[in-house]
Amino acid sequence: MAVYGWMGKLLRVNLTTGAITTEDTTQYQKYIGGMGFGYRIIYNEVPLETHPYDEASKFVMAVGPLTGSGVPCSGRMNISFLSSWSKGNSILDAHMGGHIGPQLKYAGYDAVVVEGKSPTPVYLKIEDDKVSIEDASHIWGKGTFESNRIMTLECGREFDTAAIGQAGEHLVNYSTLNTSFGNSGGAGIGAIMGSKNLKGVAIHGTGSVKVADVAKLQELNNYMLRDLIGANNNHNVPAVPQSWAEYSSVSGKNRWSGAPGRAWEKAPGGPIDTGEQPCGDINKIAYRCLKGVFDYGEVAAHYIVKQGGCSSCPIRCYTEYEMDPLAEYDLPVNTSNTCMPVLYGTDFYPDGVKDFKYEGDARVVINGASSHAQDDLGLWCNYGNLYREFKWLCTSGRIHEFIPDEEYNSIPWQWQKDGDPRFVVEIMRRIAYKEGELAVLGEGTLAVMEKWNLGKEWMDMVSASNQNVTYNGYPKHHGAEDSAQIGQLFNLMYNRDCMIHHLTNVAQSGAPYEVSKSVMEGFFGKGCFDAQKKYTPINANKIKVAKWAFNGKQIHDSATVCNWMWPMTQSPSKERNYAGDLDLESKFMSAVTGIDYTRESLEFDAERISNMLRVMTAISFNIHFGSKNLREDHDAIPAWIFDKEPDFQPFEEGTIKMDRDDMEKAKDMFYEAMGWDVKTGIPTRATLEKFELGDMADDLAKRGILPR
Amino acid sequence: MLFGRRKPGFVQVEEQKDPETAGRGPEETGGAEETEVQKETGDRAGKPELMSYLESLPDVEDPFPAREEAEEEPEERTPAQELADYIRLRSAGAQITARSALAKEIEDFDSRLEALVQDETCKDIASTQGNKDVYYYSRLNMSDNYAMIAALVEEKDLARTIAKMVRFNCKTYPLPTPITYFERHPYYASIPQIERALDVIAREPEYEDIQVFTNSEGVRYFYAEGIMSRKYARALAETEEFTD
Amino acid sequence: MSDQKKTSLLERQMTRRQFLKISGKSIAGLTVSATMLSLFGCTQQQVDQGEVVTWAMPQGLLVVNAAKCTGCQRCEINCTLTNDGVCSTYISRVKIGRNLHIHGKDGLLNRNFVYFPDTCRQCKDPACGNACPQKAIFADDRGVKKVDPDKCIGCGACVEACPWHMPTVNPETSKSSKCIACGACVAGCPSGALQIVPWDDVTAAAQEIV
Repeated sequence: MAVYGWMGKLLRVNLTTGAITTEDTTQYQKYIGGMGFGYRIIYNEVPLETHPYDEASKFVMAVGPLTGSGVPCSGRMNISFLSSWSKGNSILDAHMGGHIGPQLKYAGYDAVVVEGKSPTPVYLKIEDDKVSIEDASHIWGKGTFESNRIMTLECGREFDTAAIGQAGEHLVNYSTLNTSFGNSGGAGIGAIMGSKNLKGVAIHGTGSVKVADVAKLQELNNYMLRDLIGANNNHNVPAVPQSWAEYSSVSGKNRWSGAPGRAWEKAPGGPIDTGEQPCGDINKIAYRCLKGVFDYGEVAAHYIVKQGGCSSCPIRCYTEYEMDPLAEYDLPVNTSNTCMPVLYGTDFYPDGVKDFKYEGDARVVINGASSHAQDDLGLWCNYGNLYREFKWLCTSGRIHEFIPDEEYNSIPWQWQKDGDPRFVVEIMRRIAYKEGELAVLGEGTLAVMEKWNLGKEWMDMVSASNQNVTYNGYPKHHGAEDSAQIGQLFNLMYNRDCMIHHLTNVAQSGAPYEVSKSVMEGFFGKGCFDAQKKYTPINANKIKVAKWAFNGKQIHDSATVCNWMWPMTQSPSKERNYAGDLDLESKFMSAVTGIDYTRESLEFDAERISNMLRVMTAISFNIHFGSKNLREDHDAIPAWIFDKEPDFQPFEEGTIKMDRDDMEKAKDMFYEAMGWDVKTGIPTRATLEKFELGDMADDLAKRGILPR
Repeated sequence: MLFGRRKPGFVQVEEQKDPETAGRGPEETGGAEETEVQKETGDRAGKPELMSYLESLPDVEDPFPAREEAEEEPEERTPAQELADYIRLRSAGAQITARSALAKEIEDFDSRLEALVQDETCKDIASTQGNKDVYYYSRLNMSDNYAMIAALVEEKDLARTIAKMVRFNCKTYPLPTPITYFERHPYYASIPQIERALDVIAREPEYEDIQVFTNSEGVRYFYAEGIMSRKYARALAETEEFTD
Repeated sequence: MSDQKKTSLLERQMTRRQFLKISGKSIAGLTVSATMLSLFGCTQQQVDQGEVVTWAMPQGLLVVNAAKCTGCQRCEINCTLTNDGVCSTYISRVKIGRNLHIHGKDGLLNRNFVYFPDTCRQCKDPACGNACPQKAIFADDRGVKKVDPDKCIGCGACVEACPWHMPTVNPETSKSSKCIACGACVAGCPSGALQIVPWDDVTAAAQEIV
């Protein structure tokens, strides 16, 4: 049944039998879409005992009612599956941007459920209702860019494609699914697909997303683009002073990095100055984010062709480079990425790197090589842990304990000393092809700790290479440094890095603290938003913020909209006193679907998904470790978070070092606010029934882990 | 099938160029093909001017009919309003306008300014007092804080600029200011210029609250004593390593 | 500029007639005055390298600057929301999605960053209209070629006939969707890669030179 917003249909593909069927998705609408659809379907269909690479395992690619609807920053797709690398092998998601999510909608589907295992390499071709499983034996073994190119040539240039690389084929836990832009979904989806012999997907849709109230949607689009949107991460003041703006980022570092004198220097036809981009001027928004300059400083502009990004988003966060020095090393010169792969390639060169053509360009060029290689191989980084752990291996003095001599001697260390970009490419290749002991790095942080007998203390140590936010195998993703206990709390909730940007977007916006504080207190009440490195003990309003951010992330990955841009908490508009609009997601949901959503009702639906996450995590931990207590076994916090910065006491001006008792109190208050048992951190029956998840309460009861 | 959904029974039409509208067709690739205009004009060194070139071409039919639109009469501007328009135009281009420059150009400047202040339609015109002059700008196009910065840049007293902005940033954000702040738009101070200004700051009693330190990445930062403690300033100058 | 220098109706028509002579052609090979360049939001170097194409439209001069396109598809989104009441890329009258990945030698999968929107030329002798067996494509009172949905049978002849395949048969309505010069794509372009400069301003800039 076609409805507004949703397409009303999911596609089910069984790679064992070749059966391709469709199902009505009306029953899933209370789970919004994306992540919510994925969790309900995986819970219903895949016993959590299943090994992630087993034929019985499944994955769900899903989009939501806002995907491809014309809502700004709605180009995302969510993929849910069981983790191959984090503790408990429980439910998690890969999230990807680009153009392929909207294409799936235009082809007529809210989700694709992939099950079984093909006997030979294949790819999935979706063209409206014509769906086929195509031979991919000629693509198997190739990198993601070439694989996407071949699929596009075969299917037609209107198709959007995504492919796994050699990492996924070799069942490397750290593996991705990548598009032609280098947009990638991570968390190990590459190997999940690889285990099914599925090389990629190619999608083209000639249909449309139906919108209940088009005039309202257009009005909201204009409102958002004129009055609310900032730059990347919704930073709401420019990085350098602009004449229309009252404020700018004093550090000079935020993602509104476009400015007079900063140009796309390699644009065909000569440099394009990014100039000033006043609030309200829709036709200049694309020049606000000059991500390369944010990442590396002004030297990056020498290599910038233009900015790219995802469908529907006016904030262009993917810097597209032509790095000509790479040609000398026979490496591709055109590269684009916006995330971790393009930031930390120099971690592979602990002794430093050398400039190529301009002063300070070493970081730019090395990262160009590393990001392209990583994307092509389809290798994931676990939000930087891959780089941190390689660097630790090189600098800890312990590499010979883990890497056999023969393998050690085969590594081209001279390239590392020379700052040769081929070094990082070669290291990534070995990990992606699972060659040698070094490949343990690609199996995950937990595998490194266990196989190399490093002990739990390895995650407790105070060190730049240790960012592990739990003992479950993933690092913090904007935690206490931006929002003290709030960030620490939501970092504990998932089975991968949390990817919640609600608070970092405000804290790192560059706006004066008093301005941001008044915006936040206007929404959540007094004391909810601490100054940088000057935090206060936990309080009820901070818990409100933590709950809003945690549930809000589920809104974004289900609706789907981009959590780097959303929510519109702050605005660049002085007339609005820089306040954004937290009702905007629900206003868009109402305009697109025709269902009357309020902020409260949408957050209620999102909280249902939060509870599914929690229940599935509790069951997985029970299955694998006999755990009956998530608070102790999943949400435990490593010591470094409390022991860092010995010169400071918690709550002292100048630190974000946390306090043990205060964090335990924060957990008490958060679990209570979520309706979870305070002792175990597991949802109660009353809570689950409130969200119509009685079946999950029964399941917990059956396993003896439903709180009494 | 490259472009559209072709209905069965239709012959595939070969890519063709309509000579009237030949341009960058979807299958062309950038500058690979010489355009019509280039062919006709030949030598690139003696490039004809656009309008005179258009003049030289034979007339073509205009497919769009003439449509009479309601023309609004441009209203008469008073001398004060013309002055305001001028200030607005410069503000829109990120420029403040010095009183001394206006007084030199405009004979009856004082009376015009007086009229401007009284004029309800000119309420957006504001001024900021520098050390050497008064500067006008329009709040429609420029913020008060930027006008303050622009006045500092205009007066080229870098020591005063650094001191004023370090105090302002310390108080407003509150943050210590990295030296790189003054290298960027719209200050564009060079390191040697900044060094000379720092000598002045170290010497002059009026700047004795301005303090300098170097963070762990080797970047120099400034803060204003009395507004922020050294320990807090140092902590705020340490940036998180992983920020994406 | 419009406020300061009103041009007469006749003058505006004259300017349009001039620009019609090169409508849809790259203006490479010509020198463009500083005023005109600033109006077009481009540089002489972009003009020289063929990045800039102009189209004479009823309401003004459409300037397409390929170097500025960032591939966000907001032109397609605004086109279809405005004209179809739904959101789609396939039936959009301005087309960027099909150029992103492989576009001749260009596109992301050919590892370069050359992609830009194709726009309807509003040809004075339209191949789409000439090919229509139903005579469903007509010029409105502004001279814009439009599809009469009552006459259109969705046969696709216009799609085939257009050298750039700009019209599309909407599979949901079986009607041809063709550009009506509404300007929604231009109004929402976040990088100014698409821009319509009013004839008033073009005329004033031209007069400054002559």
